[in-house]
Amino acid sequence: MSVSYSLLEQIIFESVHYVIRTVHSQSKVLDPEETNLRVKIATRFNEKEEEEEEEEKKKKEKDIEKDQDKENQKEKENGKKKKQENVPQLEFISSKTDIERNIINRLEIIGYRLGERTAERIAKNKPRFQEEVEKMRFVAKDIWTALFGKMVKNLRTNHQGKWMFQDDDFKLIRNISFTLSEELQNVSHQQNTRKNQQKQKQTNTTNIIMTESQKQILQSYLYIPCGIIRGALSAIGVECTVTVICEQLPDCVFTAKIINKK
Amino acid sequence: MKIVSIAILGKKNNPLYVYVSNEENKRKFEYIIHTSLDFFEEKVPLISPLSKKSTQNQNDMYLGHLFPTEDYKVYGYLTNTNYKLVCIIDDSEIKEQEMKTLLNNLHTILVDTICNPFYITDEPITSKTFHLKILDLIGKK
Repeated sequence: MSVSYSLLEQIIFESVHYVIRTVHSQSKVLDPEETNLRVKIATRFNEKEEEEEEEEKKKKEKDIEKDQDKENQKEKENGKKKKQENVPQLEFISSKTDIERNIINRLEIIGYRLGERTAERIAKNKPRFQEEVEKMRFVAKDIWTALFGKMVKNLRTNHQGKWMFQDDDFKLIRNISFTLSEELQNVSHQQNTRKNQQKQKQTNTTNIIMTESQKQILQSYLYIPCGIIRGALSAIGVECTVTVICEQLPDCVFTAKIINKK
Repeated sequence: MKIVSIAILGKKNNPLYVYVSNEENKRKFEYIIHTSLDFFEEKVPLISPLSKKSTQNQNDMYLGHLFPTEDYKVYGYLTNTNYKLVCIIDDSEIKEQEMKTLLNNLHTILVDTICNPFYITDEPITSKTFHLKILDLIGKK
């Protein structure tokens, strides 16, 4: 059964855009006429706003410190000894809100269901899997070709329950682009290294090095493929958790950690 | 040759779908299906790497201790994704090839149902089209 790749890409991109829209609508009110989401995302992570946020955080931390100092003075006056608790300060430095976690969960479940169903369809005509290696190979070859048109470039293991799927040119994020100013920054950043120049000549693709904020946005596109891998493996009978690392743009490494039930 | 019962069991051996031609004996066939689970586990490690996926475990279960006059044949099919298909037959004359094709078709119908986005995995299959397809499958034989 051949899946239309453009349709799959469309579905995934639309769902991720919807998700990003909801996440950002929590902080700002979006114009309904505003359709250019990429511009919005770029402006959201503008340098000025980052500075403002940092300033706010510092102010809040200072306030808390002042309160704690007052409390400490009172306690000393009372003559009691108390251990300093660090917990209230750390609450302001949480990296992901509950809403984001909820959305990430939902994206992952979308991928999970997709993976389960494709695995059912494709495993119907395959001989029985005897070992773990065969199951991983099934995901790396058959499911990847069915969904993305090519196989995984490299499948490695550490023989202790961790499997890594490395894809050189991951289809779903291949055509992601940034705003013009960001691209120029990225390219100039990267042109200086000889290695990258050689790589570019060999592979004919431009691997783009990204900043931290760009990587964070990119991460939201990679939850669905993580779910796909997890769903496919659980359909075959291997329970695992899947994470992904993406340093340069089309080059991803998915890591599946098998959960051993004993 | 009459197909008396067809059952589909999930990964945790939970029944997803049970069809019985004769409603009166439903409990009896459910019991037979339950006992066939042991045979699935028995047969699986004996499969050599070269054999095909469909495990045809042919256990002639003579229910001598319950109904001396009746006897059934139970066929099983274990998919790669740990779904178990069980088929109980009345007569004793059936070609292996026929049974293989029957269970294969059953497997395709199952995969179609699982791919339905409204179907939640590991839940009983309540789709009417599924039921009609199975009746079609049985009606042909």
